[in-house]
Amino acid sequence: MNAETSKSWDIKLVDLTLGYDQKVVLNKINACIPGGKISVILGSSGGGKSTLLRHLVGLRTPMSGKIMMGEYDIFSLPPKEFRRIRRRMGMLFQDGALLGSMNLLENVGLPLREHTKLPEKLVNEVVLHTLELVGMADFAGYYPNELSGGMRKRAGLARAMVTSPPILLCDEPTSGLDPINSAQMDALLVNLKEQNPDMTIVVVSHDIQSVFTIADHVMVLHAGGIAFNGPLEDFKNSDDPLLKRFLDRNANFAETGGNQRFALPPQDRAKVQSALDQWLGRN
Amino acid sequence: MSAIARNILGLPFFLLDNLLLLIREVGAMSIFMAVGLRNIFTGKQAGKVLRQIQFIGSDSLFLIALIGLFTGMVLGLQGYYALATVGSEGMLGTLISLALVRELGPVLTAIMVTGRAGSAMTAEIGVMRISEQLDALEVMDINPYAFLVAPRMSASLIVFPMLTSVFNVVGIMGGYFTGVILLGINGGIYMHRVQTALEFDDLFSGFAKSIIFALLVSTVCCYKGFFTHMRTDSVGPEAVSRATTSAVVLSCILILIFDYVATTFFMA
Repeated sequence: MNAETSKSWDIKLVDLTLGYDQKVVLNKINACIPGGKISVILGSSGGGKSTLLRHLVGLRTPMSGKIMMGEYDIFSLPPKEFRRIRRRMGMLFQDGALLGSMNLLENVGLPLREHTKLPEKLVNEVVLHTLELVGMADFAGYYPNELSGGMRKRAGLARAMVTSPPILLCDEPTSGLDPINSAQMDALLVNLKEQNPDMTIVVVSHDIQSVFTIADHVMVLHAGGIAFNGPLEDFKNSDDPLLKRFLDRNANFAETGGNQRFALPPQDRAKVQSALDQWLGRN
Repeated sequence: MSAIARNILGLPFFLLDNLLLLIREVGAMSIFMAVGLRNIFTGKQAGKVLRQIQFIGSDSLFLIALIGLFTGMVLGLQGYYALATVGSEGMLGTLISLALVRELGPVLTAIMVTGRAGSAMTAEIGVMRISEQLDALEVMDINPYAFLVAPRMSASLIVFPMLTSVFNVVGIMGGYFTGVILLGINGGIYMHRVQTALEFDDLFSGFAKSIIFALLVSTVCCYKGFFTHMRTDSVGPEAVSRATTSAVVLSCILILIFDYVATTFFMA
């Protein structure tokens, strides 16, 4: 089947090196994110998950290597072609990234208003329908600063979905949410996938509960590389000590040296304690 | 080698570094302005331009009229006493109209609009930058230059000459109030002097200056907000505040420099 007409695209990372300025975050990674599935990218904070996502959507250029969307190496395409490929992607940013000067009706309808000549009435209908899907239709007239974090994320998801993109990228959709809102967001993604079987959804997360609920495929980033890339079942059944730690939420201070390198000498600890006691009025 | 000697020897390199930085910044701003102007007719602009006209223009109208009124009144007062020393109080209309139309109108209008609307442009775009809203626009395939920069440039180009005209007219009225009503100059002579003093070249130079200032202010203010994240001296909200301050300061300096350059050009 021609890649252009194919409904779901695999995303391939080929010898990909990513970073900021001169700092390498991920070094020469090779992996395939399968099309038509929900893939979750896991990893510790600062491990390069969000960086990878920003590269996937073309907001940053890799230091070296390729990102293949279907058969297209997106960073070697001419700008016009690149934009054509990027139109196939929607992205939910960590905090929704809704435009602060617009209400939800305007925010979610923005791509339709900018790129199509649909009448305003029809755009509003589409927007309300999309907001309904994420349970936000009653808040269409609200501005982002009037909403909670979870509501902003759901509205951000609605905006990412409104053009029905075949590829949806979500940057930590459940971070900072309470368990109920997290579960709602997971359910939204699963429902979305069920309604759009060909859609490729890539979710960056470090919420292991969320991974078990939504993922078909898991990629684990660790120490500048890929520690695991495969189906959820293989991830669950893995004997790898690192993956076990992820699964068991087990901190390993020995590896990071977290509580050793900056241990306070006893005399300094006493000084700090005394200062705090004084401030708190404790004798 | 002593620290003083090291500093003296390092001075040329310091100056060279700053010169290169300045050249790079000017180059980047020029490209930014060109890209902004190129996008003026891209996509659906009308609604966005109208909103900016309201914000930069209509909402600044009262302020501009107020400043214009008092500038004209002060000019009337100072001019009257200066001219009285040579017995030429009747020339007050000439003095006020030429000073306002050629210089004070365009310059003060531009500086006031920079303080009111230019700072808001930088802050708004800067906040959008640090909260990933500009990234979101790019991901939605919405060109941020066409969406944010071009409407502000268009609106500035439309509004600055209008506001300058309002400033000039109200300023001349302020001068009339001081000179004619308070100090007793003949009203007919005042208006006659205003009418005969102003020639097409004066009006044209004032108009041209307001267009130049519109481009300068909108470019500098949008540029500083757009590249808030590239600042090396600060990050986050502090970067936005510093970007806003530097946009206002730089705009005001450039307005005065370009005013001198333009005046030299028009006088020649």
